[in-house]
Amino acid sequence: MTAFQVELNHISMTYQSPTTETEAISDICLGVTQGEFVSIVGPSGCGKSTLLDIICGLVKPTQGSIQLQRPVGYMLQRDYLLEWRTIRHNCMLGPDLQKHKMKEARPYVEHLLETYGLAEFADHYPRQLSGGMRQRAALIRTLALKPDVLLLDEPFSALDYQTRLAVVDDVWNILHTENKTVILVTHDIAEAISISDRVVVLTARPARVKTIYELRFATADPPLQRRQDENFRKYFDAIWKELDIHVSS
Amino acid sequence: MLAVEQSPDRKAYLRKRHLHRVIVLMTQIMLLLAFLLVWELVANARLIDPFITSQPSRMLATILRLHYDGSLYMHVWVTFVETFWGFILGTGGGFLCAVLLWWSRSLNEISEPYLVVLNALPKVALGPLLIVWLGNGSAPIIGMALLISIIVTIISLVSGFQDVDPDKIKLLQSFGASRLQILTKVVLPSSLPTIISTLKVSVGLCLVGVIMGEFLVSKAGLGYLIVYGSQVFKLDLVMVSIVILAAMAAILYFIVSFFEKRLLRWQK
Ligand SMILES: Nc1ncnc2c1ncn2[C@@H]1O[C@H](COP(=O)(O)OP(=O)(O)OP(=O)(O)O)[C@@H](O)[C@H]1O
Ligand SMILES: [Mg+2]
Repeated sequence: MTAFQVELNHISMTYQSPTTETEAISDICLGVTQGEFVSIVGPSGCGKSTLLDIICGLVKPTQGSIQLQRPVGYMLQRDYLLEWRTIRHNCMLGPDLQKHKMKEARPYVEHLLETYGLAEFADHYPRQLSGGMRQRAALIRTLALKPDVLLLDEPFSALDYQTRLAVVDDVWNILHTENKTVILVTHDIAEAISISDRVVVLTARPARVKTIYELRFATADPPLQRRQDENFRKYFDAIWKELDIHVSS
Repeated sequence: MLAVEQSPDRKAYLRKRHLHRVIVLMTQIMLLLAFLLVWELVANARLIDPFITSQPSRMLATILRLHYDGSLYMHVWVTFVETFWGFILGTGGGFLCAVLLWWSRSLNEISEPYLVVLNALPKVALGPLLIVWLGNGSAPIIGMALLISIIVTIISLVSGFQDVDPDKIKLLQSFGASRLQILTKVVLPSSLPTIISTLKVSVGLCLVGVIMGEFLVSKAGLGYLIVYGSQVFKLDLVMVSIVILAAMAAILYFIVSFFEKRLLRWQK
């Protein structure tokens, strides 16, 4: 057996509510190795966020089991910076909640703020920052505890296209140099192809694994360059068809 | 911000804004002065009977008399202390209850109908009971202030706590936060505006409770002065007490507003 850093065994999830029950995930198995970048794409509302919640341990699956390397960093769909904290204080949220990590994290967070051009905004409040800066602050907050595994839930969806391409490049560089294991949920097929080692396509709700694409590019190409690669179009068409078939059926 | 860099448009805007404010303030002061003047003249001309309506000059004389014999400060102090304790106990107790109800969903559901009924009940109806139970010192008066403020405090704080974005809570949970940490790091800070507006309402309600309590049973305080004045037909005394009460309510309100500005700096 390979040493997976994240391993999902036959995960199923059904939400109960007074009026109805909703089957969100049905029998998903997935293994992710150290340093791998996996993207998950699927029709909207199929259960992608639910899957990340389960991996993070926020939601208990109705069936199946998970093995993973903690700590896990989870970046939510919106940045959710706390507006009463300064940027520095926001980035220190994780260590702040786990007191003993405080001393260790402080210089690391300062270093990250410096690297990602937020040092001079460290004492500003979130409302004073642009969307791209807020997103970077949220990423620093996610990295502050030095997680081995990162879960990203459409972290770039709030950004405009230009900023988004730049931030994706940034983030890829950061995560690649730190050799993090990443699971990224996205709506954007091009983004998934440009950034990942593997793309997992899910079916409509309840989510099942439909196809898994092993992407073959000259490794270590940053996302922007990948978009020029001849294979890019090929993968794009294939995945797009796969999702599209589902929407029209 | 350098004044030299202001554009002509900006200057014109600022001047207009300033002028507007001055006009509003002046009008407010003039209105008050005009009202007092008319009152004084109408009373002097015996168009109204100053014996039952009082008049500004008599009120001034009464204030000075109370000032010289020192009883003014004694009564204000008594009312202030009672309001203070009613406020501390009412908001403190209300806050603790609200936290408890946020903590336990079932407790919240169980207590809901009781809170609704207690909120609707006119608390003054409990006055006689309070006197029997707590005697005739300050205790029943503070009890009245507490009763009036605590229920409203609980209800509005709980709904404020529950309005917190669940995704922010999810964010903290993803960092492995405990329930206590969720309370102190997200729920309380993001409900701060609600907490402050609740305090503002509560301070006013406490004063209402104290005056009602003093009407029912007291030997001192502004409420006592009002009741005493009306019984012995010294309407000057009643009017003076009401004016002082209004001033006191305004001061208490501004104290809370002061804290509001300091605590909510991040909103600016
Ligand atoms: N707490 C909950 N209780 C009940 N049903 C839920 C809950 N959370 C999600 N669901 C349902 O589960 C399904 C999957 O939701 P989920 O948020 O995981 O989808 P998603 O793929 O992330 O969607 P999107 O692409 O819009 O982000 C939806 O039908 C949703 O209504
Ligand atoms: Mg989602």
